[in-house]
Amino acid sequence: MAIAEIQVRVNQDAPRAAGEEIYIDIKGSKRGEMCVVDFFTQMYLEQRAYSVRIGSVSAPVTSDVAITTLEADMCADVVNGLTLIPTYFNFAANLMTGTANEVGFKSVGSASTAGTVFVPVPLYVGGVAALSTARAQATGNCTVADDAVTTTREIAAWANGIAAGAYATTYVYKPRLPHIVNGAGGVYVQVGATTTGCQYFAAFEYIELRTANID
Amino acid sequence: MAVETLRVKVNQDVPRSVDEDNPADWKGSKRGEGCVIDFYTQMALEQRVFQVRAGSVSAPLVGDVLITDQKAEMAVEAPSGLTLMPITFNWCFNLSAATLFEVALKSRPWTTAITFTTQFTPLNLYIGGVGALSRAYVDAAGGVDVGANEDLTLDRLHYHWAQPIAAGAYRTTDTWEPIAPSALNNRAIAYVQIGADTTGPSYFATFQYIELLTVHLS
Repeated sequence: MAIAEIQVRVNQDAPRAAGEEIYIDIKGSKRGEMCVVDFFTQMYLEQRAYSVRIGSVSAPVTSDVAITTLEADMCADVVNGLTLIPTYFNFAANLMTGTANEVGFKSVGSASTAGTVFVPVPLYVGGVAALSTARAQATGNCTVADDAVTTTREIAAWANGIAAGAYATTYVYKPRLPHIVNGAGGVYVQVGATTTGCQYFAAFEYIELRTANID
Repeated sequence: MAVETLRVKVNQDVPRSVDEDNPADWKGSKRGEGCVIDFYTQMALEQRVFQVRAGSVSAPLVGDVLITDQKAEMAVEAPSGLTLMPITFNWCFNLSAATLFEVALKSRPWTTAITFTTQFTPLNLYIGGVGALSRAYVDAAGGVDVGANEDLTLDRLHYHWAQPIAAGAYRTTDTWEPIAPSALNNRAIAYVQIGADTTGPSYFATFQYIELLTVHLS
């Protein structure tokens, strides 16, 4: 039986910049550990990740009052042939006086139909523009598909029945396993409360790939 | 002894779409790191992850009043030959005015059939993905009967949250994500219980699981 010693190429000091479709020795540390990069990090480095946000530091937005199923504050959509993989969602309320506060991040197999257009921001600064589209308009002014438990996936949810008090009003979602939005479809964020909408900042991130690269 | 240096193929700009059962060169970054994908992400991309959810945005469900042994809000059952791996569970209350709140996720080997009024078709996390072979049930106020009393020697407790007072200075949202999944096979059942005394909490909840044929595991 042939026995082979497996080697890596130590390459810590001068990172390489090999061209596409070129075979190169796998990178190793000075100690000989093999260097790998995970799927999510590589997708971000390949300029395939985008952010959608709402509310700037001096101007939080105000959420919906009593969320109804067709209303969202933010969304991102892909057409047939594209796939969107939500990777992150952050929400922070800086005023929350209503009750029955709710935040939901969901995916569904149809695109939004109304709301102020938001151009997805590449997370690689200077990166390529998204093929996906997005919207951001507070107070539930983005129109999305009906939230039906039989068709709409809930990616993340946060709720509290009482006004802000001695509990955290910031929430972060990072997937253990991602939802896969095979276009046409999209993701959306709903934020609301009874009587008075909360004031908040929010952002979500996603990877965009051609469906052919997955399925 | 032969010496071999592992090589990767740089492939950042135009991702490949290699057909099943064909060899593909190991993908590498421009810097030479080997690109890898974790088990959970790959399972989702292969359309093997499903969701069971309770409560839509305008219609939260109401939990049980005093959880009793075999009463659950949500459950999923693995038919023979299938293995389920529960991997995330998220719940939140948007009304919790009673006391003695409890939320739990458990699993048990099959002993008796689940009794239910509402079957739930599991949602593939891959939109447009294949249908589940597993069966799920959702019914508020403890409407899913898992068929047998909780037995400390049979029922696995994956997650338990409790709070004795009404909503106040504490979070009413939580997410369970185990470091590694339990494997439920041979008609095993995973179930969620949510309740309180006097008045059940209004809640939204989801749990996700991987579905694989048992022969792929053992």
